[in-house]
Amino acid sequence: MVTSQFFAFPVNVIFLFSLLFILFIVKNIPLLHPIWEKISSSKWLFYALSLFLGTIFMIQMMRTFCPDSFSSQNIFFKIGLSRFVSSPFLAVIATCLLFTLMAHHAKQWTLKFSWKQLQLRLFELGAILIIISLFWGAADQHQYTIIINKETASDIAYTDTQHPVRLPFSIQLNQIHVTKYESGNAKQVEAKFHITQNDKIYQTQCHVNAPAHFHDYDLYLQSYDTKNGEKNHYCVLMLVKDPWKKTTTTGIIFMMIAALMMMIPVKSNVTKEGGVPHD
Amino acid sequence: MINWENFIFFSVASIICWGIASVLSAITSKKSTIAILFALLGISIYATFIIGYWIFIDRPPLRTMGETRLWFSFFLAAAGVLIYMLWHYRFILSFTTLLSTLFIIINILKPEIHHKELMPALQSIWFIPHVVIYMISYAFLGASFLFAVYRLFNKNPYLSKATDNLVSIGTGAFTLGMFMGSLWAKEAWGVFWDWDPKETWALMTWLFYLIYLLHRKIFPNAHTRAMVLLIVAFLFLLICWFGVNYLPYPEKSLHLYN
Repeated sequence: MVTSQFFAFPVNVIFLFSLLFILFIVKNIPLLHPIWEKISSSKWLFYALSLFLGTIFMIQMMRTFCPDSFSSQNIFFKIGLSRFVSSPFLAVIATCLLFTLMAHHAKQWTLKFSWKQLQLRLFELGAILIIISLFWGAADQHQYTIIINKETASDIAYTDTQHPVRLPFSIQLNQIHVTKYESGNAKQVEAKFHITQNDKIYQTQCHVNAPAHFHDYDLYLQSYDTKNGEKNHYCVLMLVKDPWKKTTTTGIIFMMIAALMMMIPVKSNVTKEGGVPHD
Repeated sequence: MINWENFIFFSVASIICWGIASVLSAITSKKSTIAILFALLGISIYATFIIGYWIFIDRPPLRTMGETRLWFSFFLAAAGVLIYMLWHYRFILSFTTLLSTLFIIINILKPEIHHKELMPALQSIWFIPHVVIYMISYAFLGASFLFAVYRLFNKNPYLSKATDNLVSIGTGAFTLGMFMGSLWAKEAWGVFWDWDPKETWALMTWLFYLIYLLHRKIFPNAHTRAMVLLIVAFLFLLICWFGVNYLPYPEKSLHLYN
């Protein structure tokens, strides 16, 4: 995932259009046609997928067995061999996969349409949208935490590096509601609060697995004072601004439709006598 | 009420039914209706336990490792009878019975089922479909693993096609499970993907099965290599399912609910 601010909009979009432009050039210039044939083939997609899998495996092994590589001074950390987020190494490999996937996908549209083709096209289109939004859209995502209480409205949130950010609205807690099991353990926790913007007050609420939505922000209940429960006066919210959310969701829906199609067996291997011959 | 103490009785009855179905299907060259009926009887007995236990604990039994093994055995047996009914692979019931029995024995020896409560993070509409569809995929991919091992010793090319069918269904279900999890993660944690160890292993497993399907398309005659790929893919699946808990730093995982 590329989270560096340098790659935020419009750089990431320009970069993606550049990729498309390169593909267009390679596809349409006769001199480059042999290259197009290669990069749009299933074999190259196979290699790109294997490379991507190998890279993830290597990074996961580093994270599992070399805890020292988490230090920011470590060379593996710097070049992104021991992290997934903001890893230049993984971003390059993911871009290679994206490029090959786009080439393979473009080729599919020139082939004869069939049920299997529709499934493949949906699957690949979904994968392309997901890779674009999760890897290149991550630079546009903002995530903050804010402590809200019952006494005063808060409009200062903090980034994960503890930099304060002033929000275009303020939030004040109304109530925390905790549903409990007989044992006393929490079953569900709900926070009711109000948001004030331009002298207008919006009443809203969120609980675990059900964030509140306000304009471009999703508000998640992150934690609360478990000792005081409903009597507590504050809670911590996480604010997420993700402009690529709809793109990712669209990609996921495409892939899920393709997955459902995959589960319907097209051909049966049954012989006239039934079953696998000579098994 | 059906509680965990009754599991051994229900599971032994199911295994006996599946065992009879396996023998009947293996010895008859035509599709055996009696074998199907016995297999379905075993599944019904097992399903009765799951439903009864669900009512007893007052939550879906999908939380602990032991509970997921319960579903895996159930779906594996169901996948076996479905494959037998659709394609009449004579030895599929024997394979699935064997693997289901193994996981039932593990559950008897190490139940890992203790809690009645469901924490707030698991109170979601995604909880049941996410876990159940994963268990269905594990069952089909488990069956494909058995076919792959059998294919290494049996050169019948039809077995590879059968394996492809199973992998296709299993990978489809795995894709659904993974992306349902992703949509749930967005609702619960604010991100579609968090590179949590469990998620990363799931991604690697999924990629491995996609690579297998691509490999079959590009090299349709490289059967042995394809089957070896499938066996390794199943090892990845096992690590994703429970092996990840035994690797260093599993406490960092957001998927530990025990």
